[in-house]
Amino acid sequence: MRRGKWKGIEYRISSHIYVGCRGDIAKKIQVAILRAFIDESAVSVKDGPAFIFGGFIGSVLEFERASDAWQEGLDALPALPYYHRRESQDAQRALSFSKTISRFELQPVVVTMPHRPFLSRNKSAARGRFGSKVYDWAFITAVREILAWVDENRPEGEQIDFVFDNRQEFARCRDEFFNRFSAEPKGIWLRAGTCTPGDDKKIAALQMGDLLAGEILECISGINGDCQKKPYFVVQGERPANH
Amino acid sequence: MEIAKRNPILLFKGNAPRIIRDGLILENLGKQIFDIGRKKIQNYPSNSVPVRLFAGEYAVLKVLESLVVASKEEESAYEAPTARCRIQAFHDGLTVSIESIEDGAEPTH
Repeated sequence: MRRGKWKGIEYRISSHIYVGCRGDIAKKIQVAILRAFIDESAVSVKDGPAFIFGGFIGSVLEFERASDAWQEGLDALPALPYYHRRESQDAQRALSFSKTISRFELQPVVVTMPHRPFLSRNKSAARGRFGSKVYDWAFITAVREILAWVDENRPEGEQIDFVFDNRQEFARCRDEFFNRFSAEPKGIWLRAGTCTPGDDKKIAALQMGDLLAGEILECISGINGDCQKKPYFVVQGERPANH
Repeated sequence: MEIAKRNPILLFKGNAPRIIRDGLILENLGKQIFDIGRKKIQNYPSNSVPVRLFAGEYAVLKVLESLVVASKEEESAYEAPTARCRIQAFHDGLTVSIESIEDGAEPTH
């Protein structure tokens, strides 16, 4: 849902409004609509020292182009129904997919949230409570930081829709955090569009996020060396998740 | 890192808020901040204490709500089951002041 004001009247339009539009109008709308597709990695401390969200920000049109190219990569022999880094041991395939992504104007985004502070939590006392899991704080960080980035870098009035890989924790985070703040938006929340779950087996953009998150996991686990020091990153600094 | 060739990766290194970090340290030390009553608060040397995260029933949720809302330096007050608290959010986390205790005891200031 996109909000705006025209001649003092507040309005809301669906981000899918371009469906059924005249071709050239639809294309303009597609270019203007921003999306962030985000997948997770290292959900458990057994997988790595930090929970990781990996994803991309881009226009709907660019994601559609990239998804078509991604599908061509999946269809190449041996064909894959979808890409999941954990299930694929084929390094060449991963490299090929990485090259595919780099052809498009998509902004990679990574959020890391260390597992350590959450390890000794009282699971029974925390059950069902928002804010008690590493996922929750990674979600808060991802949404707030991306909204802040959009606020600083994109034209005024432009909003972003979030699509997260569907997990049990997602609905709680959306209801307790995203929906609450986006309902009466102020500040960076004026940039918030929708927040919906997606199936990473069906949505190519989530598979791209999975690939990125997997590469970052290798980085911070030391498998690929200390690549955080290499100039691939714009590090936004380390700060508590509430700010 | 072929992905980053066109656009450098925006890396947001999140960290658990102090409410969690200190809370767990307190928990590990066996200090019960919100589960308790007056006795343990009185034993605590300061009226401004880091709150413990995973014990305080709905109080924790309220703290988290405040924490998420808070930016820079803000204050919000709420009533926990056992204590009236004032929450101050700072750049690096929160402190929670115990103002009074439900059973009528004097504030611990």
